[in-house]
Amino acid sequence: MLLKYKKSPNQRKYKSMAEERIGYLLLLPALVLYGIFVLYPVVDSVVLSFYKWDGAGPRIFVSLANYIQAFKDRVVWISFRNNVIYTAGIIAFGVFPGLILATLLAGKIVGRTVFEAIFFFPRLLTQVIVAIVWSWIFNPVFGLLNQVLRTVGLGFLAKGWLGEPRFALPAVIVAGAWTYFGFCMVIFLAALQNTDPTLYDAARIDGANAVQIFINVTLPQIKYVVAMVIVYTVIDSFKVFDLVYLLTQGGPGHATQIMATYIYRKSFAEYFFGYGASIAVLLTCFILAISVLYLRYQERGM
Amino acid sequence: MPVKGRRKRVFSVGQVIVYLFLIGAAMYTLIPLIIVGLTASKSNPEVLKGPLTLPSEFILFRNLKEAWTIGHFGMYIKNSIIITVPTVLIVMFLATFAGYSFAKLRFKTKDFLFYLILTGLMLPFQAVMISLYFLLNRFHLINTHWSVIIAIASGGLPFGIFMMRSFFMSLPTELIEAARIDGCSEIQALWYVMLPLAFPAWVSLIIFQSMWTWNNFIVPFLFIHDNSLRPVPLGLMFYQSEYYTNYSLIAAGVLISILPLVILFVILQRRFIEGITMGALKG
Repeated sequence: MLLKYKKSPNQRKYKSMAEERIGYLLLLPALVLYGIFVLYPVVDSVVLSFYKWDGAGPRIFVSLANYIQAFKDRVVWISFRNNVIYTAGIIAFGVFPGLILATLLAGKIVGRTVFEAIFFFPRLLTQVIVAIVWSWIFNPVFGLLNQVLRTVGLGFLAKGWLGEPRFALPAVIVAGAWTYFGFCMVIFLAALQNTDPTLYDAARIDGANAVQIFINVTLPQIKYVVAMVIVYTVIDSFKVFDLVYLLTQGGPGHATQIMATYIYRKSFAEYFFGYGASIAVLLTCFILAISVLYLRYQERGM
Repeated sequence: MPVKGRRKRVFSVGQVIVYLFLIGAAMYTLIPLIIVGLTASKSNPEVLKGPLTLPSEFILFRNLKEAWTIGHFGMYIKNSIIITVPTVLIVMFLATFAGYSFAKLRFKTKDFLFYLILTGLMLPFQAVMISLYFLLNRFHLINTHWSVIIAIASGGLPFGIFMMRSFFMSLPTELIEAARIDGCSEIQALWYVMLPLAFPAWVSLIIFQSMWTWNNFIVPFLFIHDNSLRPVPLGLMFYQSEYYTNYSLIAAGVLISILPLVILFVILQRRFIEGITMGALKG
């Protein structure tokens, strides 16, 4: 016992103080940058949301007026509704196909890496390219979609998809889902590779068909990953700006107006910076609330 | 040795359906890109005949050359590099230091500071956008590359820190203990023992942060006004609106901006997919 090496209390204290100093020193550069250019702007945005400001003149304190206005603003609700529809669309046309493709690819498939690479590729493109390409596909004159419709004898359905209030949002969703399903597929495929293969054999011996196996054997094993991806999709779909702005700028009318494009429009196009900030704060609160949910699933799913 | 040729596998009906489905999905993914390729290969009047008709005269290289000259793509690519390289370096180094500190060192306010940074993972850009614009304006940084570098780098820090922290936590602390016993200071232990091991984590971080920076649209869209400073996505957007009806030249421009990416992706496919899915999910 006596032989056991023991640091004197002084030595230990010195060591932990040195460790503490270095701990802070290593954090300092990151904290400074993060504090000035992320935390300060967040706080300042919250403050700004209680003021009326055109970006140049003095800030005028208006208390809760911006928030009251936001709740009465028809377009805020339209934007929120469109975000919800967009999210549902991306889940239906992005997450769900991603899950199906992952299930198919998890079997013995020749050329799996090639398929994987192809499905994933759109995710690498800047949204500017995605917008250009899909605006061509939806183009009323030479667009592929109209051409296909005419070829199969449904020419009467042909239209300028992005210009029609009823079809603009679904068209945007199709373009958004195109960049998203391959990304979901990769995540699901990784999750499926961790599942228990003997369960599938057992189910097959019991005479289950492919759909039954998928619902009763596959899904329960990856349900946390599925939940995680869905919550992630909700967050991602409420943050979306680039694609919608580039395809339609929120139009026609407000048919594709979403929270992010409306915030941009109110602040940087119409100079109601205080009002824009208040909608941004509402959006941020909503996203933070869902993010907490996301972290819960992430803990269990990964 | 596996027994060969015992059972000749004929594709079952189920498998045929699976392959048809996969090939169909691959076609759906590729058709928009095929349209770009075809459009860039024909003359503009031909574009209006239909997106999937083959060009009567293959003029891809003429279009590429013309797009390159009138579209200033050399300049945009240069700007993108000027923005991306410092951004990635800043995130990489600061995130490595901070991640190491969070993972391996003990100090009082660690948990609080970590949660503070974790919050940044969830913030949408809209939460900072307006105030950040006026803050950078006060520093006279608006309409400079630095505005974009600072905005994207500080926004990317939370994810970078989170990732490097997880990585360092997966390394055994005994390595540091051993280095300390050998007489290394904390900094030396980090520099000589931990950093060389951090290479695989860096590759993922570099890929994720480069893609994120290179493709970012909204930050340069808000902060840069001069054409001569625009990075590729922004340049492409203005190029597109300028030559709105010259589809073959726009397609050629799109091809120019995709090409470097395709080459990198083919070489580093696995790393790309890992880096980006991991990055997005944690971020």
